Amino acid sequence: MLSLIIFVPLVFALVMLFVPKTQERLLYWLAGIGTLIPFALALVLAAQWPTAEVSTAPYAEGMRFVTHVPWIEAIGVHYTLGVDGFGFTMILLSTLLFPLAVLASYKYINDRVKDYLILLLILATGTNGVFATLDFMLFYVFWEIVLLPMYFLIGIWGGERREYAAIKFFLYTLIGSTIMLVGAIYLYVVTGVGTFNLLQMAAETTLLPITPLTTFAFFALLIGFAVKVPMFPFHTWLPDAHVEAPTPISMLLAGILLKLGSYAMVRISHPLLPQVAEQYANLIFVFGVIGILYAALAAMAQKDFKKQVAYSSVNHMGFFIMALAAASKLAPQSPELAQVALQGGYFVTIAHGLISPLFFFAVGMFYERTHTRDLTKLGGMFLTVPVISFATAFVAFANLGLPGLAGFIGEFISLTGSYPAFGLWVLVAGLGMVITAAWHLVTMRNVLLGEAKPEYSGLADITLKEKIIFAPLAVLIVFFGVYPRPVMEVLRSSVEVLTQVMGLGGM
Amino acid sequence: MDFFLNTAWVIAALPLAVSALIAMFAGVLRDRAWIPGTIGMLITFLWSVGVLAAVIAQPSAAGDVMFNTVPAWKASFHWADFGPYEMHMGFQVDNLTALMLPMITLVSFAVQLYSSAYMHGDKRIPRFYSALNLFTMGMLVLVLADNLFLLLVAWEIMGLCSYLLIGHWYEQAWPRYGQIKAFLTTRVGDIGMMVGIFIVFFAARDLTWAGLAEKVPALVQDPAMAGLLALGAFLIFTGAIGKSAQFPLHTWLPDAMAGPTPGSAIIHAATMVAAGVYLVGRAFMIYGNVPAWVLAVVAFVGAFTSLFAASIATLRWDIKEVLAYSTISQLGYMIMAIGLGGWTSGNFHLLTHAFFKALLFLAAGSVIHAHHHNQLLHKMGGLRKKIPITFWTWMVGYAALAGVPGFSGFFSKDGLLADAWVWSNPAVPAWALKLPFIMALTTAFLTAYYMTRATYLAFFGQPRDAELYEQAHESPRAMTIPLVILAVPAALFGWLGTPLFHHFAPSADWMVFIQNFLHLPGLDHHVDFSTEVMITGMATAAGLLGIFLGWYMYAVVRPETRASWIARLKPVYTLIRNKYYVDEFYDLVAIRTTQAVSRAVNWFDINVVDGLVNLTGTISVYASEAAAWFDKHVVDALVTMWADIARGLGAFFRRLSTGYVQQYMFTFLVMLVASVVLVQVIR
Repeated sequence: MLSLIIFVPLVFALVMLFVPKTQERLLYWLAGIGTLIPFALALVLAAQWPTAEVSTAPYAEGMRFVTHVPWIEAIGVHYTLGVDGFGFTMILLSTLLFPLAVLASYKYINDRVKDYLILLLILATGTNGVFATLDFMLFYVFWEIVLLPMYFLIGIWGGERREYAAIKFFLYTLIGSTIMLVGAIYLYVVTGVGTFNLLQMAAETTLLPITPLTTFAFFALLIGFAVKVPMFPFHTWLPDAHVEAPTPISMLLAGILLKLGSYAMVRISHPLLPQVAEQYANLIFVFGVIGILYAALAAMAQKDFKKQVAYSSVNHMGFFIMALAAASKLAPQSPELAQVALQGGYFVTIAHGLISPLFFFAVGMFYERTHTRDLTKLGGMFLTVPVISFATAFVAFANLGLPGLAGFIGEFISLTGSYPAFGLWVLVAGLGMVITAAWHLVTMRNVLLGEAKPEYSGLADITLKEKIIFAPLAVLIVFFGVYPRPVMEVLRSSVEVLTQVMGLGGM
Repeated sequence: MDFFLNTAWVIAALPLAVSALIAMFAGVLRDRAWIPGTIGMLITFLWSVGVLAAVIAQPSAAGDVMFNTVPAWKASFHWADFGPYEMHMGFQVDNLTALMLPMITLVSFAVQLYSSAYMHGDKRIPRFYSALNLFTMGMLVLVLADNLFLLLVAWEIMGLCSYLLIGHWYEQAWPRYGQIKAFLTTRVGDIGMMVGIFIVFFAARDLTWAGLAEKVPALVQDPAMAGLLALGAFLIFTGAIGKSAQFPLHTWLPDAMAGPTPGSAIIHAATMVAAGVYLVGRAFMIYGNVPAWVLAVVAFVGAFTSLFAASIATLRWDIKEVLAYSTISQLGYMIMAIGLGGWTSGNFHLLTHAFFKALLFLAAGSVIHAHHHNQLLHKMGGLRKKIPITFWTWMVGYAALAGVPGFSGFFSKDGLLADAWVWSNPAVPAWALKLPFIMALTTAFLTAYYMTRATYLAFFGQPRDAELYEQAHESPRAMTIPLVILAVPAALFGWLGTPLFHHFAPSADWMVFIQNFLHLPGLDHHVDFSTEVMITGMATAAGLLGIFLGWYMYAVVRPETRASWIARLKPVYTLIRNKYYVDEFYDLVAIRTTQAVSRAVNWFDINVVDGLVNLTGTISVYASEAAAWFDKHVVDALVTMWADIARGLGAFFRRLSTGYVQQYMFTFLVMLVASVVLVQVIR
């Protein structure tokens, strides 16, 4: 099943190669079906989740829906797929967002539609693959597969400075992943078990002493992932990429691509070298919390609506970094509290995966109509396009962490878990939350409120297509804000296992 | 009766449903949005009365009023998990909640009925009613919540609704400013409150009231834990400072006046601002057990705020602004009372104040309505003949607030002054123990003064603006009926706490219910009768003195004489007139500094962080070109292949946009092969 989820988009992409590029409707249908099938499959798996067999094999312990086939036996590379709570929630998120992105592209992307959609489908294969694989080499292959289509999607269909943004994105993440590869290969060599299986590697690497080399390996992995997250100070590619990317790509970038980094941390860097993670928890916390405050302040100063939202991604992912640091610090002494932190931090990424695509979509709705993202030019939208404005206000409140919506749950729990580790330093994150609230309110005032501007009179309000994109995400934001337990149930055992591993590592 | 108790959740669900209904059918309802709103709230009110009656009739609920480990009714479900900790979400109804519910719903009902006329002709009536009902729902959930987390959620929902209500007329600048200010200022307090909740959770691993009441007394045996919980309690109190507009986070409340007056009435009386007081009272199992300095801080913040805001109110010219500062001052009373350990008098004052302040706001709205939206006192005058119903109901509210004996405010104020008189707190030096009493007594004097001033300027004397006066007219019945409804409890509610009733019906259920509030274990300050009489005498004297001075200053003294007095007290006058420059201070320190820092961060991000990135890129381009040059010109032709790669890299860095992806794939392949080879060699 997981293989199907991963490769169905690729198969559709191959089919689409043979469709003439003038058949745009057909291409969109194919792309839509090619992304909806994985979503349907993911839903089937979700239904099976509670009763699915949990693997006990050493290469996939605690995982579900496992596939294990030798691939490059000489160096111990296997085609191993399997998901736990961390991976599965991301697969659900990713398979949900891709059909929405395809729909959002319809009639929005009019240039070289065929190439665009094929690249989008390849991207889907890459992201789903990353979330499902348990073998480092396979992981790396998918990780790199993500890079290429994204590069072209920004570089060809982007805005004015698309080439700069695309190269920056590409180089930044490429350098990150190269460093990561070095770290992983070192660990592969030093453990000597002759496998790239992440779980089997972890069984050895967690026992390694903290030496300069293991420390190097940990940070090599961490920085590789931190670029993707992105963690301060590796975040500057993100605002550029977002500003230049077309709306559907921004949705995917914020919703899914950033989660590759956070997922990789809980799957690779922290389970593999928890002892180092614990040693440097304070340092990582500092970067996380600076990211929260710094990105909030930077967002406040932006004049470009989309750039502002992009900085808020850095802000929110900072909560994940902070909570992860807290979890690795707390795990040895008080695993229960470490679980609180880890669960909260991961919930942040899920909530952000629902909220930020919607926010970018809202910005896109304004951009499509007014052809500007300049915050000083927009205004009075509540009286011009009331439904879109209501939707924007909804998502802005979700993004600033209003209780009753998903964003708040994650931030609250991650801070609850971080307090025991870092004491009143979490107030710095709290300050970031105030500033985040401040700029959301100011932006809402500038864009939505006030008298209607004459130059925008007669703009069309929300279309059916936009409603269809908006509704599922909005419903989920409310649902998980009111009743987050389903997500927590899926995450529970993974959180327990990871804290256990981190606890042992820190001993 | 038990039926109402067992279905108490309806009280929260109904306003939510009404709010959603109005929002959904906004286009159909339009001006008629008041119909579902008012009917829904009337039913909710009756339901609340049913719940109150059921609680009174239930002897088992007569036990511990304050810590409510066994509420009359509770229901909860497994809502979520914080890591391994199960979180249960639920409602409970105990004595305090049962008292709050009818108050909230009655005020909300009066406000909604009133708004049907007041908001007539407004463009966004459904939006207003939807927010109003959601707001009421927030407050009802807050008092029904059986845990701190749900309380926080309801708390923030009210924050959102106050934002919506204040910004109702968002075409204008002041509402937009006021709504942001309200949301952000309270948010500052909320962050402190959240951290306080983290601390409480860390200490007790529980957030339900019942669980905390059980665990906190045991936890504070450990001094370190007690200190930590004290910090948590203090931080939670910062949330109350924000929400209940205590100094120094009081500045949002006067600007909340930018919304429609009925919205102000509900924000200032029954809901939002009462939440902070309710929180401190509800969480008393923490406050009462942690080291005493926390309650001392609470008491002094409240006492100071009450005096501070009352002094500002003496010089306001906008009738709503006088009431806004009066609200801050009265909230200070309540906070002070709870800080003094006067749990009952604090909550009692919360209830009486809700009635008379809602009444005063609605009456002020009626004045403004009658006066063609003029809010300035110095253009009013003599209105009592033109708008008699408004005048008489206002006078009831005035008497209650000024502390005229017999009206509700008199009794509740008396109670908290008595608590201030007998206060003892080990964390406070002996000389400071009477300070809250002195401040509260001064506040009583100032309150009577500024209310007399406002009343005189609005209703007595000669009309100061003849044209406005001539056109003034009494408001429609939909506005005066709510005034009359609210005037009844504003006048009479205070008698409940007096011994008078006790003599009539000492064993009636409802008397037992009230007596339970009056005799709290551990907080039962015994005040002997002579002291009681003395305090009542002092309070009455202070009130009468204030009334006299207010009347003297505006009815007797000529304006020119007043002006010469003002000139003599210029510095003090300027200071108070400018509200002690707190707004200006925040504008400078909080707003401008944040903006400056944010611009600095943005500069740093573009020039330093991103600058480094771009510099690295540039350097690598040059380095690879240098390497290419080196290879080409220095190294032997045998290694030209490597130079090609280097040059390729250089080209890649420089001109990647042209899309030589094959090179990238090649690099990737090389690395993969190299690593495989490497591994094989090592093995």
